Amino acid sequence: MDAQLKHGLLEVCVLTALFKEDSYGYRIIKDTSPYIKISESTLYPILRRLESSNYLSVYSVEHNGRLRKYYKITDMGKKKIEEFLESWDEVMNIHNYIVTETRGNAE
Amino acid sequence: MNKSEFLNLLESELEELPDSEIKKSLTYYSEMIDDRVEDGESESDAVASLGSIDEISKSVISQTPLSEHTEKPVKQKNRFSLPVIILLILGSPIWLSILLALFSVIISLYATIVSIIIAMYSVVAALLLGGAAAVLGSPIIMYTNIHTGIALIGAGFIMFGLGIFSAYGTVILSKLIIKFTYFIVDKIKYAIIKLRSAKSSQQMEGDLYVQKL
Repeated sequence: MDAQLKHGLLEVCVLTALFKEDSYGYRIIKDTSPYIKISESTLYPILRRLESSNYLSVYSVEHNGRLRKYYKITDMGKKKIEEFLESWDEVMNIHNYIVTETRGNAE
Repeated sequence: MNKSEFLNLLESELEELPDSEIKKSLTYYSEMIDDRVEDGESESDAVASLGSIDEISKSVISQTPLSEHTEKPVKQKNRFSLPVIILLILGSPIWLSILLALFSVIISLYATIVSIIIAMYSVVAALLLGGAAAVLGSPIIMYTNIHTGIALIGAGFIMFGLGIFSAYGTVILSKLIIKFTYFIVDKIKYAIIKLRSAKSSQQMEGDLYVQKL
């Protein structure tokens, strides 16, 4: 996938992974891996960015004698997903246009 | 490479960042390794799957916002130090009058522009009104002197025509003047903004330098 396109999708994917329940770094990577590949080093800045834009909040939970950071989606984060879904209609329109213009003529 | 070796290396690669930033990324990567090990990977596999230290540190450093690069943001110095303030007060008769002069130059320039436009419109108004008055008034003159009356009608029409003609030019010209004024104001604004951003970027370079020290 185009790097710029992927960049925009990653943030929403991470937020989506938190939609049903709070999660932690490694699980976010695993949960999203069937759809999009996020490496540890890409996830880190994304989480930081989402946190500083108040799309998610962070808390620590003790787990096996160590602390694990859990991420919780905020209302703003949920709104962000909603906005993404709305804008996707536009993207689908553009996709349609590209397909019909380029493939349609070939037939 | 095991976990602690990895974390030590990462720490030394990130040393240019503030301590809090280093700690955050070390916690993050340490948690990642622990979770991978818990998931059944060996410690060295877990470390290897994170990618090269070089790439990790580069991404952490480049993704850290510039504002956090400085541990304690260098306190902006009071823009005017005490001696400068004293000088400013003592020198107020000089700079205040210069400022006033500059201000009045700008005001007078503006007044000139406005009065030129007003003058142009009043010429047009005079031509139109004078022409109309001459044409309308000429029958009265014709009673006493027919030749003068006819001449007056002609003169009136000429004036009225000139008035219409110059009204057209005046509107265009005044629009041009107003446009030009906006243009000049924009230019001045742009110059000021450029000056300020140049100053602030200098300041930023200064901050970075302080941080490196």
